Amino acid sequence: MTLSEKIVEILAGELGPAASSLFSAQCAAQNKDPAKITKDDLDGIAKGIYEDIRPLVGDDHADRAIKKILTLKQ
Amino acid sequence: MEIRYKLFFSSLVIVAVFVLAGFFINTNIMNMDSAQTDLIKATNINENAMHYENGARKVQSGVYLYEHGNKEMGKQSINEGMDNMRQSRNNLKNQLTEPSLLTGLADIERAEEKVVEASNSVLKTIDNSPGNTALIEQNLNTLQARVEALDLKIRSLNDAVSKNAAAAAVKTKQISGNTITLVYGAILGTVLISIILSFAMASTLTRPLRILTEIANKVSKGSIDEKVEISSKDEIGELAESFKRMIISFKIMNSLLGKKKV
Repeated sequence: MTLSEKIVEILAGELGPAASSLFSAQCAAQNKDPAKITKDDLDGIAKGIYEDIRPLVGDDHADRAIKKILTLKQ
Repeated sequence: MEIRYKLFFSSLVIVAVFVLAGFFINTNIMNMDSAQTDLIKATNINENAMHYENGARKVQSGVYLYEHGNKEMGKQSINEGMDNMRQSRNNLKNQLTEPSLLTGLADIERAEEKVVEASNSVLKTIDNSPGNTALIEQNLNTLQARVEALDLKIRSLNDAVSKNAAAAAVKTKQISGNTITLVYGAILGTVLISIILSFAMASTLTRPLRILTEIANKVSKGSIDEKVEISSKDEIGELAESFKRMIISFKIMNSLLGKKKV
């Protein structure tokens, strides 16, 4: 399972079927290829996703989703 | 708790009520059985007491026959009477357990000894001084008095046993009444509990489903800002969580589409 697939899986558990589109849109916004994402990119991607979803799901939910993504750094 | 466990628990409560009622009914039946045994025992004691009394009367009749010259038949009657008394006494010893009744039996035994003593005394006088009618008459009167004393003691034992039997009969009636009340109570209690549990379960299951249906209807008509506030831990709670994710997805997709347009 690639890193991008893991990110999508985590996001899908929190945000539902839009996770894949959200991740792709965020990668595109940061000019990154989803297939080539590395652990070094996680902070930036997580921050971008956080900004995108916070107004929609609230602080707590957004925090929870991002913390799960950041566990992939280990 | 999962819905199947909730349903199982409800059934368990109803079963528990039945088991509890069954336990009490069983205890009552056992008590009734015990009271019935007391009644049978009392009947047997009364029968033996009657035989005891008849034995004493037989001894007395035998003595009269002996005195009237029918010595063979008289002796036979006396022996039969004594056998009857001995047999009845032994039976009563085995049947009586209460200390007060055993004391009564000891009194009867003493009275029996006196009857035997008086009967032997009459026979001795008849054999040794057949012409002494005054003494024979006196001894016969003594025998009569002792047989009556024995009868009196046997009757007082009978009365005491009858009182116990009456108490046992009252107890049996009371227990059977209690059992009937208990059976009706168990049926009524189970029906009430079943109704309450059915309403509670129906409400627990249908209320969140109704809320989810309302939200689904609103979301399907474009209102994606609806909030799902169901926090049950069962399958309906899981369904609500899935539904929340669907709404969030709608919001994200809506937001992404908005950004694309810009």
